[in-house]
Amino acid sequence: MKLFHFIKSKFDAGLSAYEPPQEDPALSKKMGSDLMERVITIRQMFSDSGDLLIREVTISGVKCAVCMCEGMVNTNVFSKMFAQPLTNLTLEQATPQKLLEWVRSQSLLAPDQKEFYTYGEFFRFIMSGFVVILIEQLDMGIAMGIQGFAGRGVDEPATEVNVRGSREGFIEMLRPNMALLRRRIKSPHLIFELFPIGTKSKTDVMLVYMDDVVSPELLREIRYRLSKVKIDVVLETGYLQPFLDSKPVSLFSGVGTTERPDTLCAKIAEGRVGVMLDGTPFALVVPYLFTENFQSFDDYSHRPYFATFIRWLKYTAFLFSVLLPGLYVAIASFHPELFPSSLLFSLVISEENTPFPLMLEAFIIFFIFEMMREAGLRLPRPVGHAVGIVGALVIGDAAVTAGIIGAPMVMVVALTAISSFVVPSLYEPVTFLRFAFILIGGIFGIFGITLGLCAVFVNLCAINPLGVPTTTPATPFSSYAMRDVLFRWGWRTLQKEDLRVQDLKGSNLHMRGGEKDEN
Amino acid sequence: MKKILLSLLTVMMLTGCMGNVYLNDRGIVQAVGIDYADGEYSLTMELFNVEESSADQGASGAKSKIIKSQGKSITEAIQKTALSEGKIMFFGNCKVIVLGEETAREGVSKALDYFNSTHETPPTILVLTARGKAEDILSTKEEEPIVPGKEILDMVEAAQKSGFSPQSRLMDIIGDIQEPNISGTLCLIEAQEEKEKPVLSLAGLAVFREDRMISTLPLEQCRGLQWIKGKIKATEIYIKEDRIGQITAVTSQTSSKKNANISGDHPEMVIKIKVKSTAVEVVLNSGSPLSKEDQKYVTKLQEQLIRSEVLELIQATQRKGLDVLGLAQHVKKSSPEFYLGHQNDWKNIVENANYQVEVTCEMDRMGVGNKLL
Amino acid sequence: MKTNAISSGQLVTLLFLSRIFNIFTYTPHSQTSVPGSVVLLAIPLAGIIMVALFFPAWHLIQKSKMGILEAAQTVHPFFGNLCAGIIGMVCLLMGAYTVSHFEFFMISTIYPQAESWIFVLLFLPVVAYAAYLGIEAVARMSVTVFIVVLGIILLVLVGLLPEINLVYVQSPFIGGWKMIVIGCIRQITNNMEILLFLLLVPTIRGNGKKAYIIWIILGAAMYEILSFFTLTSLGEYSATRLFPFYTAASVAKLSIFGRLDLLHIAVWVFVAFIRTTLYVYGAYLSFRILFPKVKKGWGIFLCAFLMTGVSMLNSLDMRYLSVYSRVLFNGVPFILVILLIPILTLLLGRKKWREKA
Repeated sequence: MKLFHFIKSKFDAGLSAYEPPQEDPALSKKMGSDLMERVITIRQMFSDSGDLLIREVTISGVKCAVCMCEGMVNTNVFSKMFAQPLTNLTLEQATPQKLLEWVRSQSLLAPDQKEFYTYGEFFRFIMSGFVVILIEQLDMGIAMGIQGFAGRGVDEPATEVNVRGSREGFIEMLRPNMALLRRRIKSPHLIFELFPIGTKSKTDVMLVYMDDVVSPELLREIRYRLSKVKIDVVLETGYLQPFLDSKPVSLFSGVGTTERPDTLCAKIAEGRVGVMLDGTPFALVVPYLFTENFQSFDDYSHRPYFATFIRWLKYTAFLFSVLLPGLYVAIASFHPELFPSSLLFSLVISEENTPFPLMLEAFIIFFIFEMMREAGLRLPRPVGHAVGIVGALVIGDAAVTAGIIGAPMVMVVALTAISSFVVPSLYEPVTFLRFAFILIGGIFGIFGITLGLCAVFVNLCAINPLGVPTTTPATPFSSYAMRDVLFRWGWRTLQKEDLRVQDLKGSNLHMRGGEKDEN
Repeated sequence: MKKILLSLLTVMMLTGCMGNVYLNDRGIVQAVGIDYADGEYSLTMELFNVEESSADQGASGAKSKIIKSQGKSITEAIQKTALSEGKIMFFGNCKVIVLGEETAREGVSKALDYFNSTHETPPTILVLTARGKAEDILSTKEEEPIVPGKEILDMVEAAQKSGFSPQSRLMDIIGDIQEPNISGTLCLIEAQEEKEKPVLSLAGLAVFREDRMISTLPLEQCRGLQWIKGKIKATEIYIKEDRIGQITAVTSQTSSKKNANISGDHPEMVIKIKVKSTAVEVVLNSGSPLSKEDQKYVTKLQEQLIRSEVLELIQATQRKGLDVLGLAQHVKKSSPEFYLGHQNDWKNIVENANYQVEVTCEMDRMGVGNKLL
Repeated sequence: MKTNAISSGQLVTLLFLSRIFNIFTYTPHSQTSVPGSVVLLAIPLAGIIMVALFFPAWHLIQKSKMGILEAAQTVHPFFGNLCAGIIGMVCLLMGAYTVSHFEFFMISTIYPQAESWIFVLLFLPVVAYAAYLGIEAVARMSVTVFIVVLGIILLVLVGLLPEINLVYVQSPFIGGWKMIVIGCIRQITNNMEILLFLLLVPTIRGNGKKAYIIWIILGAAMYEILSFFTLTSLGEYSATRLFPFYTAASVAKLSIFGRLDLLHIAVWVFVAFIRTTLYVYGAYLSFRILFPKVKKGWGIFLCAFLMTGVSMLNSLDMRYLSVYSRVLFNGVPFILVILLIPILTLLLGRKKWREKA
């Protein structure tokens, strides 16, 4: 009971900082005490939808209505833990109030039990898989959490594969995800803050943080920004990302994503906040630093020397994937004196036999490559393999033999493509920048590429997701945090001082973890 | 969105403003020879032959062709080539510039000014002087699919390592020309007939006063200059002595220090040369390994040999008043007032200067043989 | 959650990068040059003098507890506006000079067939964007650029080691003390970055005086090292080249890296970018005093637009740039903004600040 009130008080505290969006006035109407009237109103509001199940029963002589949504409830648990005890219940001189007391304090029909007073909450509960009991003469309802809707089991995350480490990834349902996190951090300071988002969809969104570590300022700002979300239907965390991102507009985001519970636990232990949404396994992490794109969970399982080597490989791969095609086009078009003689001869021979200038060649080939990649993603798996083979044949051999593109360009494409997959979290900005630099390099040469780099770099340095500069700890320089950027120091060193995002240089978060937020 | 599209359109319209040249519109020059006669420059250029190379698919290396043109200036001659070949000449990968003898005597500044002004040509490009015409040097291999530019470069680089060629780069000769009292040097190359086939070989040094070639030095005296400059990487020192036998050592480390003082009315240059070598070929008259005293004696013989080469070079240049050792720079550094007072009469100063040469040799390695234990 | 503060270390890197623009674009035989050996002595002497010259302005900042523009404003609004106008104008002219000189380098060395106006038209909008993002973003960028620049310079210097010949280091007294004095004056009057320091010092967290001294020492050390290497590796050859340090980078070869002038071009674009951004921002800070109601975006756009106009005029003919640089670095603008304005402000405002305190 105490736990129930504790959770409820936290829930209410979260809601107090949260401004609910405008909703349908009928939904915020309070329920009356007449059971029949309530049932009729519910059927009318739900337009008698085929998945609404309402059973009117008498429990110990008290009229009740048991409501649920088809396919959302675990029927086994429902019958054993809910239906049987209630059906067999015999209360002496039963009244609606006595029945309510029994359900409240003398039974354990479901681990999660909530009371509500409005129609809006009623619909939210049954659509979240709760079973609701409406008791006559009482203007409230009780929701029991015995969800059992069909869902994917915990499986290896598709986008973040590790060599060493757990094979568990988040799934679409929030409750099992909460369990995945709770198992890893067995601390009472790990808090889950749930509230609905989406004016129509009322999707459950959850903030995950450690209240002894996170800055209250950060939490306040996140809640405020989420309250500005007025989207009707929120289906993916990607919908919320722009609201959490800061100015200026940039190709790079100050909000990260992860599918792994171990990664999210590591992030929230550093004072970050996780944002999870019901219906998607991708959690958001705020604030997200640029250097984190090059970190993976495997780095902390491998030996430091190898982890450092892989880190440097990623930095090099990132630079290659962004700059290599543009530099190649720029140098070949404007500064061929920088090529060694033998390479220059090969280039000239290949250019002699192709109809297009280098810049156009680069555009064509990378466009084809992106089409192949997108096709491979959308096609069913058995067919997807064939696309890879066709792609290699089409782009590699046939195009060169037909004289459409030169052989050196194929090498550049291959190296760039492989490099871009080494840092998958940056694939979107890297792809866009690659095309931009090909264009700039082909028109303006090295000068254009360097100027473009200046623009991109200064834009990156201006991003301050929720008060923490995204380029920290490189700049502004935080020496203790750099131990995990250029080199991955061993755990004996890493354990000496805990990293907190609010403590990084340049951070505008002044409140420490555990402090009380007066605002 | 509109702003992005507008920016893209603007950027696309600027494509013609940067003056880029497509790769296949460039004629890649690998070597250029400059001859001068009757007020006109004749250029002989070794051009990368794209058509033949691409037909061959690069199986037997890059192929070249030789093209020639004339003009009142270097630029005019190059422009004429562009007209005839339909390609813009590109000197970014040019390996060597060969100046004909007449061009060198007329003045190298005019010939090299184009190459010193363009950003394509690196300052470290090799510049040589030809005995005779530069055209003969570059045309020696016209019928064979060998690249003369690369061959010349390899030959000169090997000679530089062994001390038979000085640093012969564009920046060296242009830098020497700026100092009026310094005599710049360039490597001298000639084409000789050998079994009715023309063969390229190094012929020594061309010495310049200001920007005109006034003298040449034989190949043997090149090494004397390089001992003084301390620029030898690995050269052989051959010692033959009746009692001991024959010992050939290869230098592993060479350094030199030069100081100039004023002694009375004349400058005195002290040259200290230190050489460390490895004995590679040891043919002893006696069967037993060389004793310590004999080893010291052999190093003494080495010192004498090096000293004699250096003195020979000094005498040959001093006679003609040529300052190839950089005496002017050393005097300017140590005694600027003396230099300022005598800079107009530097030829006489050089002819009367004193040179002290101290050579220290050490044969500290012997390879895997044990004859020096 | 917004703040404009930068750390003293970031200020040092910003101004250091701005300062080394001059050595990268140093041209012998220009009106501003002296022989290489003289420069080696003039640099440390100029550094000592610059530390001394800084004291009036620093004293002003300490007494008034505000920046130079704000301090002038408190003396009298008209005086404050006049000072802001002069400082803003100097910043505009310096920024325009930077862009013009940068464009001159580009068309002389890398893009001989390109139109000169294109560099101005491309460069300044990007610079304006950077200035608009704020000094904090540029300062963060400068730290990384600083490390990259140091790394590239180190690579070039290591590549130049085999070319060093100490015979080229002659006595600086050959031309007498006159040349050394001229060299010192040129070094000092070219260092308009002191003005940027005065404009930015109110935004820093940390010790401003220490930052200034570190910057002067670092700048002088880098100048000394680059001048030494250029002089000893190229010798008399550098007198025939328009941009000796670029030539030195072309000469430097490091085994597989080949020619390093590509890195030099990249470094120079970064350095010119940061320098011009600082001057645009400095001009904006000054004109903000004159036109406080103009929004930041429009203010920066106008400053960049004016700078573009002046740069385009310079790019029409090389001789305009030569005359322009002679006027800008003849010492008068330097004395005006670094000495005269701070001393006058200090003298006129001393009483007011004492009463306030």
